[in-house]
Amino acid sequence: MPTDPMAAEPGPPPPNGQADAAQGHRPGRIVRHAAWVEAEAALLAAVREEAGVVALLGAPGVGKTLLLKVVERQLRAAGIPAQRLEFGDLAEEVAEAGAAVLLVDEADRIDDTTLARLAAGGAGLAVLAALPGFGARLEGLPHRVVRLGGLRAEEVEDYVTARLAVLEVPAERMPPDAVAALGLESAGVPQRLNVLIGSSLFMAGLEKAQAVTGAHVRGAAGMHELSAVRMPVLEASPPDSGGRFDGGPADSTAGAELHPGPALPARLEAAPATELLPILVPAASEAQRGSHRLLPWLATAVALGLIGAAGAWMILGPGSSGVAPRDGAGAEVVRTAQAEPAEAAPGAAPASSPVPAPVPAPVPAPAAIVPAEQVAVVPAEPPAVVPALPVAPPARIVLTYPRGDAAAAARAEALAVALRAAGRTVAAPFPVSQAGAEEVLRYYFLEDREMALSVGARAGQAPRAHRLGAVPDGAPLPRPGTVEWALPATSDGEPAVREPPAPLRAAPELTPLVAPEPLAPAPGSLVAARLPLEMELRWRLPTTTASPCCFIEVMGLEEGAWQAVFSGYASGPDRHAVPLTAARRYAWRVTQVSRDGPRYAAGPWTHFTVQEVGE
Amino acid sequence: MRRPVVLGLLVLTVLSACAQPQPVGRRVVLPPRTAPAEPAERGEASWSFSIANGVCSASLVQEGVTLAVAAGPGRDVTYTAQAGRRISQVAFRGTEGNWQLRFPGTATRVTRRLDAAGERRLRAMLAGGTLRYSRPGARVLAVAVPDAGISGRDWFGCVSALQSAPPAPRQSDADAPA
Repeated sequence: MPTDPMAAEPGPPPPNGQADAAQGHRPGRIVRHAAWVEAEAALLAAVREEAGVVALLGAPGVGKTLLLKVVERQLRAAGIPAQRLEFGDLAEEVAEAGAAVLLVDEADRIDDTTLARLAAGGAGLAVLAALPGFGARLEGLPHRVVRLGGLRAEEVEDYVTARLAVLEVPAERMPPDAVAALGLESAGVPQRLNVLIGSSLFMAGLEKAQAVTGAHVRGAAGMHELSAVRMPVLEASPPDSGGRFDGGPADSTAGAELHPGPALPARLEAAPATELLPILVPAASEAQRGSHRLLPWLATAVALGLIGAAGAWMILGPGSSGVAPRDGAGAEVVRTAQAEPAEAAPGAAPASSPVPAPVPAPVPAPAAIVPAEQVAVVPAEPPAVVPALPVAPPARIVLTYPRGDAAAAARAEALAVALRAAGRTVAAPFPVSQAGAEEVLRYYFLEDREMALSVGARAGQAPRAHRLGAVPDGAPLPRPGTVEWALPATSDGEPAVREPPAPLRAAPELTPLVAPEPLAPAPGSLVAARLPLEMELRWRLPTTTASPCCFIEVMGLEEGAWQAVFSGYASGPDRHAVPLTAARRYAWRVTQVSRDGPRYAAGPWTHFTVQEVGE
Repeated sequence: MRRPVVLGLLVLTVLSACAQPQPVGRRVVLPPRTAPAEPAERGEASWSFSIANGVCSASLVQEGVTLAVAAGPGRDVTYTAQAGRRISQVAFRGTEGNWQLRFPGTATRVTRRLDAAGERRLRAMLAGGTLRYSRPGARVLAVAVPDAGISGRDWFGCVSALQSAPPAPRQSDADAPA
């Protein structure tokens, strides 16, 4: 695989993971079969052409988002300014900024005016990923189309084999009849194929069958009701492939058909639960409910199994053979765990109950920083009642007043009392040498604006001026949720200075943030170690950002209430060691913070429990 | 002819007596007088803040020169200085105040009560200035301290909220205002 993505040529599919490793991706995450390379090359070739719109059309789950991410990385590696948006309704502002290549996911949400302007080439080249129906909106506008279809029938076996290898499941457990059923029931959609593989393996396990059968696959498909949604994928299959799935309509599109590169998560950490949930918990029709009375319990059982398997994938490291490895100190490291879904983020699907797993003997932790994967992790019993954790960062108000201004100091103290009485967290009033001429409420992240407004409103003394505070380059960013209430100078204080305007910053939409994904310690696990413990937290960012990027919050459950244990910016882009001194249940989350905007995106809360072991 | 010869010898004898005597034994070379060495400027440090287990931590780092401040969980604050070799004193000068902190012996950390003076010391440092690290036998290191801004003021809220606790034994009384 050439390192220059612009020189990439379609070729035979590389072995699983090799192409990704060559391009800096996580090994094993993406299988680039020939069709994927073809589609990728078509999009990269379009960059060389004139400005305008390239529509990337495909059914849900076919891999449009993943393809956009890969193309973005390759363009940036080639020095081509590229900007990827996850939602089309942000495209208008970014079109104003004029990135060389604009990659827009969910482009169905772009309004007609912006769409026409993008098609006219005024904003450079725009790659718009959308469902096939989006093509109708492009009629009459200059554009090119790249279609993403499902896997061809003859490619399903290779895909399943690669998937099983990643899951460390022997290929013998998926005989040819099961593979054929998988191809038929998934209609070649990678996301559905992933779900069906896991579900059918679980159903076979319920029957203690050594191998999956076609019946298992069909049972899993019936539970997920996949058959009703497979048609759109086959719509894009090439007419000359000779491998169309039975029941699929003939392809009506002509010309250069492009075929999908299936997403193939290496572990659950590479396959977020949100990727699977839309298919795991579909809404069944009345007729289907009537004909499948046993489905509810079966669905619950399969969901539990999938979650359990997902937890195991998160814990098992790359290359693990299932045999407990030994760490450098010679202590046996047990890596068995079951997943407990992270704290539900807004809009997330409800969590399921954990599935018990074998409990290994606890292993004492070394005195130094303990890597997250090198501590004993066993399933933890969640307490009966766990209080809710905050979704938004807690508001913290910093009151400042002019140094030497007794009247302003007195007012700051009174204001602090009032705000605390209103339930706010207020720091001690802080004297500053350069106070402004007006009273102002400053927030430091765009997400905190509404909160800042409510702070003043609840105190009944809201300053009339609200503005985004400036943080000089090189200065540390405050914690998300920090608001400064700056009191002006009075006659007995130091002379006021006029506050300089905040420096112009890039439009915040230029940096769409995605919440980090927690990796370790495994959700719902029990960490058995000696205390105090330097617990290493690890996460993954969807996009590369400058360090420091992430704000860490750790809460400890003490006497039925969550108490702040740690808060601060991470020392590394993907990990941070947190001192833990007590055996209790903990919750942690990572917030990606960007100076562009500035903005932040908080990840989900993840739980683990620390149990102290003796010498 | 004899008289001129005798006179010449006499003159030579007198001249030799006036000449500088040859050094005897070890030669002592005095060093040239020079002005005190200028501190080695190390540029501007970077602030970072965190709160862990009731301890409010701040650190100033610049090219291997570090001053870490840990306040709490009681009303104590510990200063830890590192500059690659022993540090005898850290002195701060800033717009909001001056102070100095001595590190006895080979100690790299000292603990002080977080009283009103201790809070003033921290506030002064958060407002910016210059830190000078005195190292026996080596040049003083000077590090510029930027204004910690809103992050520092927020962190000071953690410090000021610390509750009183039994005082820790003082390691040194050599903490005096400059």
